[in-house]
Amino acid sequence: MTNEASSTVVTEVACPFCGLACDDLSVDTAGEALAVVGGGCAKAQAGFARLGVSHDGASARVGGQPASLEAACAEVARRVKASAQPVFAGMALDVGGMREVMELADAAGGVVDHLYSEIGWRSTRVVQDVGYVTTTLAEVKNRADLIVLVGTDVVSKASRFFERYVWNDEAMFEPAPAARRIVYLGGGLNTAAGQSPDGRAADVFDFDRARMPEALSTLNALLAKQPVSEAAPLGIELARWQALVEALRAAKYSVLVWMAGDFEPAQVDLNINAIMSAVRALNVTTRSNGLGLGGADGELNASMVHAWQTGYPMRTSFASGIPLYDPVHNGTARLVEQGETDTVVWISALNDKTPPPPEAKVVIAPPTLKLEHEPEVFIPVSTPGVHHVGHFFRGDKGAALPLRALRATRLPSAAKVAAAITAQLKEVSA
Amino acid sequence: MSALVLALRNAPAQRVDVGSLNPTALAGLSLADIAALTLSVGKRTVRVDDLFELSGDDSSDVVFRGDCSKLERIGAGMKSGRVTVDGDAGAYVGQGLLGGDIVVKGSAGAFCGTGMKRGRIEVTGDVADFAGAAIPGDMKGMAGGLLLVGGNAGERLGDRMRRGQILVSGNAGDYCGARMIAGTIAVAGKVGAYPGYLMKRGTLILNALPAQMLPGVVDCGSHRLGFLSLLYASWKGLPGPFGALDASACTVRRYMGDMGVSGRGELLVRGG
Amino acid sequence: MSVIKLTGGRVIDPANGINDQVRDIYVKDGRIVAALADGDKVSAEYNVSGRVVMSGAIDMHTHIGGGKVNIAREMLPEDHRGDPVARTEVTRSSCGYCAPGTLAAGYRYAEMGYTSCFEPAIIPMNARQAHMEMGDTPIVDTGGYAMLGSDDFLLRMLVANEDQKSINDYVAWILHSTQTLGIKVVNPGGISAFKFNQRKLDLDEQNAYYGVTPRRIIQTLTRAVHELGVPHPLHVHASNLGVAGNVDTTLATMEAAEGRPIHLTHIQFHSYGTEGDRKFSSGAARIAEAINRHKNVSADVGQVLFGQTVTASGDNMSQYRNAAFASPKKSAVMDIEMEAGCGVVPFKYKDQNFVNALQWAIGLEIFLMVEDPWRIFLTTDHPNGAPFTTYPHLIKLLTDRSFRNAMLDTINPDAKAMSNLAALEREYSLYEIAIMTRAAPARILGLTDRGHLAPGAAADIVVYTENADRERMFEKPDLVFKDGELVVRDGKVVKVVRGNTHVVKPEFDRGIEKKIEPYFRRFHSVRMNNFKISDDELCECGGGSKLIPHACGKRS
Repeated sequence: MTNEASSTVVTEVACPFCGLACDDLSVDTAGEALAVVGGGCAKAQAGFARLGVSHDGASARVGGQPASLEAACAEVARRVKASAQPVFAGMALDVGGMREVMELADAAGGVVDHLYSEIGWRSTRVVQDVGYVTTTLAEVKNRADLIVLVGTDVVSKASRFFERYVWNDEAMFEPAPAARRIVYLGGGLNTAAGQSPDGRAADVFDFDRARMPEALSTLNALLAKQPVSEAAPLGIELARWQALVEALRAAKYSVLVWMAGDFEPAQVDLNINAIMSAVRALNVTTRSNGLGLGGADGELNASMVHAWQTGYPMRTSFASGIPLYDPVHNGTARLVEQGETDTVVWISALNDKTPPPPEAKVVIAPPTLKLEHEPEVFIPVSTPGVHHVGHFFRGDKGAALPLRALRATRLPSAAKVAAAITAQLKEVSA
Repeated sequence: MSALVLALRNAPAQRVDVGSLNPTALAGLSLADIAALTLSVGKRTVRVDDLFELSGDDSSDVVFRGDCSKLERIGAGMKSGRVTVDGDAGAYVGQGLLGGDIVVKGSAGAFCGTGMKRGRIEVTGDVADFAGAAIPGDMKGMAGGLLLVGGNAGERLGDRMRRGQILVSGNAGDYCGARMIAGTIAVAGKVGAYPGYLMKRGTLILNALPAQMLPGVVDCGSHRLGFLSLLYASWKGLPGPFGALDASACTVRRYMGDMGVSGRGELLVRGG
Repeated sequence: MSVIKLTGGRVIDPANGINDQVRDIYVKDGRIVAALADGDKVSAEYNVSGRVVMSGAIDMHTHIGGGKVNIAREMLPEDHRGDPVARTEVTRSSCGYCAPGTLAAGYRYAEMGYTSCFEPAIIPMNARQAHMEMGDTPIVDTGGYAMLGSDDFLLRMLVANEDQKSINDYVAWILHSTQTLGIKVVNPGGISAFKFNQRKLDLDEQNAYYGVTPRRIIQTLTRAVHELGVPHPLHVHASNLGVAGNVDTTLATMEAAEGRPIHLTHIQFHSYGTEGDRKFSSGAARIAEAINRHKNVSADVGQVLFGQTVTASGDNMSQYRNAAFASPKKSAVMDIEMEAGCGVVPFKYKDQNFVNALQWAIGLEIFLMVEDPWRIFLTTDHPNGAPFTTYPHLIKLLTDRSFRNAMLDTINPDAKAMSNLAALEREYSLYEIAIMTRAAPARILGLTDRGHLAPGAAADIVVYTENADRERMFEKPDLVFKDGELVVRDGKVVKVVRGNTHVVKPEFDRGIEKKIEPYFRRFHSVRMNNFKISDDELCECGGGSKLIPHACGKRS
């Protein structure tokens, strides 16, 4: 979609570098690296610039020596086949990449784990344990009158949240966006983005975020018209908590926002569970919704594909020939630490910054990934939304965005590499 | 007849589901039948006698020997009989237990006693996180029976517990009794932060409260609760401090919570 | 070139008026041919003499893909643990009973002789996900219906009194953009009303913000679908789902179509009266009478069968209400992207529960009292009434009166007393079963090359050994061919192929995008061009599925 045939600027590009997946970027393809010239944020600019080169000269390596793609895939297949328990980790992939890796993991009898599954499984527990009442970003953009950010500022991870979905020029319904009320629960957050265009500062409940259970316990007690044990929970006078509860009751469409990764890991499901208690209590008389944001590094691409193909959310083991769901014990770090895996295969096409664990024997990643140790096999791959088309699930689960091919490369996609390994594996087996 | 002993030849590298090797499931099987049962070790399928050296003949009395910390679901779903682990056990000990006794002479992994309905599990050492708690998606954790812990318990002890009793001689971790629905948890040592988070009903019996308490857990004053003397009397003789309680010492300070989610859970602090 | 001959089978092919005639069937390169040409060499012959041959079955309403189904999967690990599908030489592993993974769903459908399945509730914004999930549902053909009626764009058009032509253009644009086969309306306008905190919306009740009534939405959309020439009539999940007394709403909804074609889905859930001590009774007789009288009306039943399942619907207003009855007690309710919503509520239908037992009887009453098998479809609204794997059991209930009455004797006695089921003597014939599971769905969806066995048809063919026990017969066909490939033998998948995606592409004026594009920029979360799914992208979503567009005969 170019403005004119001669332009090198591609417009309405969807960005795969955080969970918001903004799709209003303009990317100039003229230079050696891709340049974001409209829309976007610092993370998008850096991502397209770093990964948006052709990677000419990058080659697969086996034992540190250059190897053909075919030979490298065959070597991976051989190692996976010989492994007592392979683990497929990283998984920063687009939908197409994840689909192929799932077939590989099943054929290999492997365990599947995403970068963020340690938080993700706790977050998923909430729908398994109690369910939820939630909304999506377009609804927030047009309906939200009171937004409570629970232990997160969102913008540290997804910088354009307020720009794109809160402080809009117009909304379909009352109130006007500028009149929206913003509340932060928790201290140490970047609350500047929550200031309204006309200069109203957000309402900040400043406390140590590790003490979030106290805040949520207070809110739920007051919503239930029950007493609390303290005159000033978390050092904040009860009247302020009570006022927040009244504001939530009076709001027509309040939204309680969280990012699971911003909670203490051990509290993730309990805190979201507590938020859902509040939301359900409010929905008896008015409308209120939760909004969990996440989805960076293809977190939802991995979890959605995993759920629809196998039935289970992550993390699952295919070792016994059927999917076995045990998110508590199937984490890569635990499996490595406990000596349960001999082969970690790190696959990441979207993330070239998070280092694989030192135990990763196979690394399938962009050539820009800095490796502290040379793995036994390295296969460089292209990046979805940069080099090849693909799909990316936004962090609110509201949409899957189409990703574009903006830069030619000779590198294969992660999907192609996974399919080649699967084919080799089946040959080895046959 | 002597106990059926399953002695690990070598500790497996991967977790192994040995839930099927319990007295109920093994009833009527010959030693040869048992030896030929299969288990999954990572990607491999192995015979029971590949993994264990078998001896003895009484399958109502099963003994696991060796480093059993990778063995999962020991005694799961059994209706009667006895399972003993001479050492540490892996996760899900006694999952869905319907009767009989399990003794772990060491420590147990996560989700010990999850979904158990009857019977008794005694762990002389520690239990990891989520003892007596619900696995993801299950609406209740422990639903009956008795879980005795000689050492310490990890986080989320009795999470979503529905019925039964858990007695911990040592300490319990954070979020003890979270989302509890009913049943009794007693902890002799310290408990971690935020006991009773989202607790609906049920009873925690503690010797002291932690510093970090939820505002939704509210002090309801000092009470002498007669039912405690009956409860303490029922524990008489059990291993650990709860077996030796003075049944008349039933004055407690009573806290109720978590107020936002019905608030009918009670935290009873002994000594009032 | 592959040439297959099925020799000597008893062919039941209602679309072509063939009822149990012994015929040979020839298949060349995936299509049925009348006879072999000179030089054609039969590469595989199957002697099926004495056996029953039908075209592949078609499920015209089954929730197999899209956001709400995936929420149901994630929600219910306890559903999956007991129902694994093991990896084999030809199939991958998967699992799940009432909310199976796509792989398990595709294998199981094929193993029951189903070769096409249609997802009835695709939220336009979520069409990509639905197509991806359907693309990962092996063997069967797929397609879907796009949900409209609570989308703010349409409601604003109605408020602005835009002309029908513009509305038709928007509806056609949605069909193109989402690559779907029909239009569905769910609780017309009610999902929007729920966002404005309305908790119910009757047919003539106004949306609190827009002032638009469900009746007007149905009138407008039945007309749009009809005038665009989309073969499948507007697919309507009526107002007041599950509410006692909703039979009146449902009958009025039929009238709201003003004689134009209308399909009422899972009508069992919309056929409840308020008689009796418990103010819950069967409205089946009135519903069946109305369907028999109104030739423009068709319906699928949404039969309830006893056991654990999960209900997944776009109707978040109803599902929020139903969450109180969730079993196990958990539920997910979502407002979605200014277009729709969804609600997922696990549910256990119990034969000793008065309401559940009567729901079971009501569904069967409707099946047996609607006279024309071309206008009543065999569904459980998978998984809402029961998982699709119960279809063979349902066929037995319809074809075997003594079995049905024996089951009736076991249900809640008060429910039995409130039902006239025992008096209904009808037993469906194999021919009628073939109509309602093959010929009729193909016809009502406009699938000209499916659902029959005449030359030119796709070779989706099922061979059964006849068995007086119809449940046994239909749960395990001997042979299933998909586009001419043998995919199932003796009820087990022997080869995995990729199904096709069925769509319609009605003509319309692309000038409508001048209105849609700025709307997306102002109010939506994505740009219009990133909302639309191109043919190439669809094939990628489908993992390489072939796109089959079906003709629309424009009527305005």
